[in-house]
Amino acid sequence: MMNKFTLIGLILTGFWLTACKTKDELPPHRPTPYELKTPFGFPTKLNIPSDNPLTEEGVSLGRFLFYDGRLSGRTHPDSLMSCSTCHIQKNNFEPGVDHPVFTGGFVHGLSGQATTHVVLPLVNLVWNHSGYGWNGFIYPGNPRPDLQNIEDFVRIAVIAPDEMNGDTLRVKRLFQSLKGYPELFGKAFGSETITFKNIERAIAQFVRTLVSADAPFDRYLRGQYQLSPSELNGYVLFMTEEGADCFHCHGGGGNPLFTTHLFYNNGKDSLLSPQHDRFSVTGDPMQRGAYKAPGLRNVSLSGPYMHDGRFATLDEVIDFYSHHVVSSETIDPLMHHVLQGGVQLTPGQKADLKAFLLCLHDTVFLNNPAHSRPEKFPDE
Amino acid sequence: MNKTILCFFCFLFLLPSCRKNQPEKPASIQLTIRHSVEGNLLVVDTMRYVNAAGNPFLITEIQWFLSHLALQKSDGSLEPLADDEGIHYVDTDLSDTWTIRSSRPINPGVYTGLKFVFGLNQTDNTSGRFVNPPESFMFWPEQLGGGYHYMKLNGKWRRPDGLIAPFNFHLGIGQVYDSITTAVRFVQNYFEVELPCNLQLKPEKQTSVELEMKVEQWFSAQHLYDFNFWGGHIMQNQAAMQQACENGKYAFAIHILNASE
Repeated sequence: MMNKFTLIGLILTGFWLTACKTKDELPPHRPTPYELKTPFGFPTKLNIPSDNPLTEEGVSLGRFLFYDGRLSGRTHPDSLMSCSTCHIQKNNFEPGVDHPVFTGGFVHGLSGQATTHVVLPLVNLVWNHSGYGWNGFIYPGNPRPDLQNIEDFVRIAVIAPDEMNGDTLRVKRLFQSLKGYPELFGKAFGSETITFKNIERAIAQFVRTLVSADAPFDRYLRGQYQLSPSELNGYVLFMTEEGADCFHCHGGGGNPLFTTHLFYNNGKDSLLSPQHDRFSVTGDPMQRGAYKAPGLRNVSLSGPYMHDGRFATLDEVIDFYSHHVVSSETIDPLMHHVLQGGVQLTPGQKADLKAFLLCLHDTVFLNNPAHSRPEKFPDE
Repeated sequence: MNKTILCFFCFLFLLPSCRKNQPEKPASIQLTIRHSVEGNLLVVDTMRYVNAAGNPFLITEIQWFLSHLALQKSDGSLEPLADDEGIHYVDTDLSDTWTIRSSRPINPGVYTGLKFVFGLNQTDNTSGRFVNPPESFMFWPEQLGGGYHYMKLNGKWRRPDGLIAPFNFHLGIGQVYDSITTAVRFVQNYFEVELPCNLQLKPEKQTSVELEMKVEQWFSAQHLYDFNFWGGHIMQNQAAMQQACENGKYAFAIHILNASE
């Protein structure tokens, strides 16, 4: 016969076990780390904030949000807009000059207001530590905590009148109401209550996975592709001061990002009317007329070119650097051919340089299913 | 009793010898890099300087490598400041690159010189060594010899016709061409700098030293460097780079800021 002490002991043990079980039912949130492989020759330092590490669940959610037109906070077909409205994968995550709505690649927001600058590609941004946008107004270390990284660019894209012209409260409420999304937020961030901060985080995670590193030139660096004589000539021109001298700003074999992500006055105008240039961010008068040197990966798809989209084609860009560079007080010293008007390429050299630039065309990246529009959204 | 006395004396002899064998506590040294023109701190972006050839000029930025920093004793022996090649990148725009601290214990004692390699020597200067900026942005094209720029000194000068022309005073591996376009041989332009000094490093003390780059010396120390003659870019002009490097050997000075106390 069980005595009363044994009985009390059993009851207490039962309580204790139950308590343990309740605790076990709330496991800590442990999403799966996303492994971002560093391609050959690429930097190993990544711009990933400590409070937003890449996870499989976060990247997957970010992909849905990147492509979901309801990111504008609206559901009417005429009012849908997402990141992918302007950042189209097949066009190097840019609008492209053949965009059906944004004629010539010049975009405007849902309000009809045109953007200040043309769209920059969303390519290899995980290696950008110097600032986002043509003038780098969003940068790590910015005293303004709301203008530091890709996460902040997401918020700006949603609320800016020349983009989605939306409202963050409305956006998060809308996604909270869409079947399937709260569960995905729970998996990614440990809470099914959707916050706009987590919307920013998820999209930023997805954008950081957009890596282009498999162009013919990458394969050339890995010893898997032989450049043609014309491409090789173009490469030499790209990499030499006596040639086209592109490499100081746009990288090359030693900097396969094909940009320094830094800001230069490249001699487009003799009279500078600084509107949203680098000077507007730093206040340094020597940076009047300076803008970001964009990456050249998939550059044939990057038109219209320059911050204001003044050149429609790559040929026009090569012509500019060859014959039409003009001096100004703040022209960058790297533009040392300016008093000759440019690097003075012959027609044959221009063709070779273009042939090399086309070696940066990464069809693997442009067709990567992991970066593409999802077949259906969580509520479908 | 005799044995006890003998042991006692042995013990007395051993005590001082133990003390003698105790390793001396190491010293340390910190170098601060300063760029100057005619003795004054470099001021960038203003056309306030005139070189020995009479070219008015301005500097926008200087980015360069030094390596194999070592203190030298009177017998010629070297005390490296780092266990590895000690490659250090300096950038006038990045203040955190202006300081170098010894990364290994330095033997205390009297040193009579500071020695370093300007740029990277042939063994160290291999393409792909640096994948991260800012060092990676210093890469020197394979077609021109590969590796990295020893230095990018960028600026502008006023030509005799009054026009302002940019210059890129860039140094690295030189080329010898058999024609205008084909390099048949490469030339290692890095050089060693030896700066006499009188440094006494004491155990557990840090000595602070200033390493000065006298910018004007690049244009005058041995050869009169005239921008109007050499033009705005010299990466493919070995004659210009050779003169520049021969000048550069005299472009550095050392100043003791505070001796270890």
